[in-house]
Amino acid sequence: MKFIVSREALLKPLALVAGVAEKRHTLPILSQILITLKNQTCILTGTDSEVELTARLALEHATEDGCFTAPARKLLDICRALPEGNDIEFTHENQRLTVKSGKARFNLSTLPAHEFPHIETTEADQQIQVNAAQLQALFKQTHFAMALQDVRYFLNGALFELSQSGEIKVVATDGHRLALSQHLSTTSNLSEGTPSIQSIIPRKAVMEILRLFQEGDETLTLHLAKQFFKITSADYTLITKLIDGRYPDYRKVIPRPSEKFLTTDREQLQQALNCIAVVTSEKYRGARVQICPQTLKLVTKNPEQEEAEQEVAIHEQTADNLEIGFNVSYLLEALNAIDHTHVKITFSDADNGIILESTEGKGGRYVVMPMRL
Amino acid sequence: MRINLLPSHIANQIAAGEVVERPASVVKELLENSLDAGARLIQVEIGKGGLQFIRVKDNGRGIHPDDLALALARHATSKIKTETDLTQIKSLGFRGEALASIASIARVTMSSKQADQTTAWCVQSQPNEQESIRPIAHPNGSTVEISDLFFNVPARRKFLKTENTEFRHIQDVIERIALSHFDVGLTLTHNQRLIYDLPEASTEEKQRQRIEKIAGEAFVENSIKIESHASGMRLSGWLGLPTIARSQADLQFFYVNQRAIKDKLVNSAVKRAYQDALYQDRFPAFILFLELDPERVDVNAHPTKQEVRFREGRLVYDFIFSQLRRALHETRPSLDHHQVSISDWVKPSVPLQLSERWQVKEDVKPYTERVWEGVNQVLATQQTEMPLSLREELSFSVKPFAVTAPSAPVLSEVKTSIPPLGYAIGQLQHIYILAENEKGLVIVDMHAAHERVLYERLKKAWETQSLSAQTLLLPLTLKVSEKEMQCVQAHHAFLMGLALDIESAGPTVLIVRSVPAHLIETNIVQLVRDLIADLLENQCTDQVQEKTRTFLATLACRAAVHAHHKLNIPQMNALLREMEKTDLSGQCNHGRPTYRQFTLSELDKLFLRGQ
Repeated sequence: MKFIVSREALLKPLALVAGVAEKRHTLPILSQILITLKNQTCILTGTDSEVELTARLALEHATEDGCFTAPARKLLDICRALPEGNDIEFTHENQRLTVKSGKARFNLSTLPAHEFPHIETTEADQQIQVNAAQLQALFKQTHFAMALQDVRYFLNGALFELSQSGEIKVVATDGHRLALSQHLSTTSNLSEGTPSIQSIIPRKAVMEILRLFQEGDETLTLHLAKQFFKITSADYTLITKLIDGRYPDYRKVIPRPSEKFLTTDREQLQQALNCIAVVTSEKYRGARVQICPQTLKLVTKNPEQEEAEQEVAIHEQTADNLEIGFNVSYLLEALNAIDHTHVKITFSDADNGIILESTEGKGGRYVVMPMRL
Repeated sequence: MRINLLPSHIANQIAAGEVVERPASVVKELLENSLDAGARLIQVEIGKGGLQFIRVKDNGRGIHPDDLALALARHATSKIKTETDLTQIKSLGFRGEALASIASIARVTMSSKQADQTTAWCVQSQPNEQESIRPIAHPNGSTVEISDLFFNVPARRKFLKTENTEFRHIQDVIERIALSHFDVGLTLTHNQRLIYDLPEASTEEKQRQRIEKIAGEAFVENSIKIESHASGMRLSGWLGLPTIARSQADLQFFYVNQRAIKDKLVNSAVKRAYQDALYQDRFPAFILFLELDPERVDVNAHPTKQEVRFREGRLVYDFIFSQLRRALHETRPSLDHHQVSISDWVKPSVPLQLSERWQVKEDVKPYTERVWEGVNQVLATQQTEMPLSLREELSFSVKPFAVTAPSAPVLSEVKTSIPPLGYAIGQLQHIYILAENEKGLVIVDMHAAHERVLYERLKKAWETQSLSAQTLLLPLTLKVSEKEMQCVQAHHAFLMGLALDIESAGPTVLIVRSVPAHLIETNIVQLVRDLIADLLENQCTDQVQEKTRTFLATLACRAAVHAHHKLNIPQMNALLREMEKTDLSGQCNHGRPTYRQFTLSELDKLFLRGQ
């Protein structure tokens, strides 16, 4: 089996697929990628047994169909190191893989292709079409709020919810703050009366989705099922197993609508928080926020008894006279994700969380719980 | 079925079952009798691990001939008379059961003579037989010989271990007693081989020799002597530095009013005092004596009196903890073990040799001056150039042991030109700092040392501020028992103070609404469970503090200079000066040592100089 591919055509899909492959060698085959030739197409597959990514690229010169595996990391490093514009020739014969390019020649290890593990997929319960940029935005607005290695394993991922009306929601929370973004999809055909579909997508898969569809306005097909979540574009297919668990009812933890709110300039608030965060305890960065008439006063203090204070002008407000503590990092991450010049903050009292969102009401909504300082 | 009164020999056998578990218990009872009789010299002879015979000979007060037979009877004692005596027991024994119990399971021969009697008498007893009394030749004092132990209790005999193991237990008993009665001479012979010959140890030098024989050289060289009083209690003894912590808890001697005990309360107080300073799962080494009014402690709580009850347990705990912690924390480089070991306990040959040299300059030397000369011979060889200021330093080096109370402000009294850890010479492979001090070479692991300095600083800063609480968006729930629920409700205010807002959501369900802000990444449910367990057990907990310490330790570790970081001389010196000011600076946060001293004499040995 033999085929030739240009370095430039191979590099990007190879980098994405190799990124999914397992880096630590517990099971040797997981550090390899599967290369399949079929109808003049080269299919690259990488997996860590939780997430599987497949890339397809068209070939000009290929002999017969077949498949073999190759070490992911090494192959990628070789491609990167080769001079630009080179063609790369792969030959797989008698259990040996030879990679040639110009005067360079490599003999790489290969494992039996039939041992390569695939994530089992069944018939999808639901298929919908979404725009890549919109899907990307949903995850981009929420991914940072996912928990990292929490004992409540179902928090180490993002909730993808398709409601009966065809609305997609993505929710992430680590137990201290929550991010929610929503988008109206048009192609859903859930029948009347069926409950919404909920899938918890693991952290790693979320990060891969973010890397995968960075640009482009193509249409993606999503396959939703009990056991897996699958995204297909023209060149890529991503399949991930789901986190088996019941995601907490996010509707219950979002504070009830309150009459009290204020609006302010997002960038100014962001800048002020970044600035005063210098004088906080290294670990949890607590800040006091005082809501006064026309101004938002931000105060921090650190264990060395240093203090910082900054004020931000309020544009519009329905209430004042509240002092409430927060972890600055949570506020900043929420503000970073809001894609608008003005931010609306809804609050009630010092014991309950606040909601941050753009004044337009588009994009993500962020709940941040207070901190007693 | 009717109720019968048990015959006395059966009752005695039952009692013996509690007191006499193995030959070592017999030795313990007999030794305690000898000590209670005011003996100054006790000779213990053992045959075949105590299975063949046990002979304890003392030079104490002896027993009056008329009382000899009675001594073997149950509940017969000279140590207490009235009920009120029970509340203030000053003797080691008091129940009057030991000899009777032993006599019911072994053959006992007891000879005794009181100083004012002309003849010695001997009583022999065998279970179920009438005792016979006859005159015998014996010096002042008593001898008790036990043979055929457990001959009528085959079950016990079967459970005995090998001769060597049983003897090892006897040896433990002798060691425990030897360490608490320095005023008594002790010998131990096994199968006619002399194992221990411990002469009376009235001076500190002799005490050191005794401790060295029992606890080893490493212990005497790496321990600090402590002594402190407070609220009617006195705590004294030797505290092994964390550097010599052991993999087993086998070098832990704790005495309450000279009685060796193993107590949970005491253990946890000591363990807490060593917190932060021990390497992984190591056990500290110590010999400690707690003295307090006998009325404030109940020793009649355990058949072999290994456990005691304190009337004010909390007070005792706090006292032990605070005194030990202070002693450990105030161990500064200037007070370090080399100084203590060499100056405190000089080997006898050294002062002699040195005093000869000193005679060149002056004839009369107070004891204290003689002592420090052991510091190193090199100083003596440089004697002609010895500047005056050095003499001051040397006399200061004596101070740490002269003033043994840890509260003594040693450092502030000192006027010295060379700081204890000396001045940096340079950096080795960018990992170690080499410094020169008056004794020789100091090697400092700079990461470990800096880590401790930062850690102590962080802890101080942390103590001054209150904990911040992060309110949870998704409150945590956990199932608990009703007992645990009551405990949480009783300590609600205390838990709020730790930034833990815990409420009940049903008879057995707890809801955690807020957690300490710096601990959000830890497993909170586990933390709360551990905390409740502690509260149930001890009415107090420092789980949160412990987690906080771990967190601060990680911060310190990350912030500390890492190996392969280049430091210049002023930076190194600054670190050395910081170390001298820092608590526990001899160990890093994980208990590894931060510096080592190499004296010139040790270095000289490497090069065979002056031999």
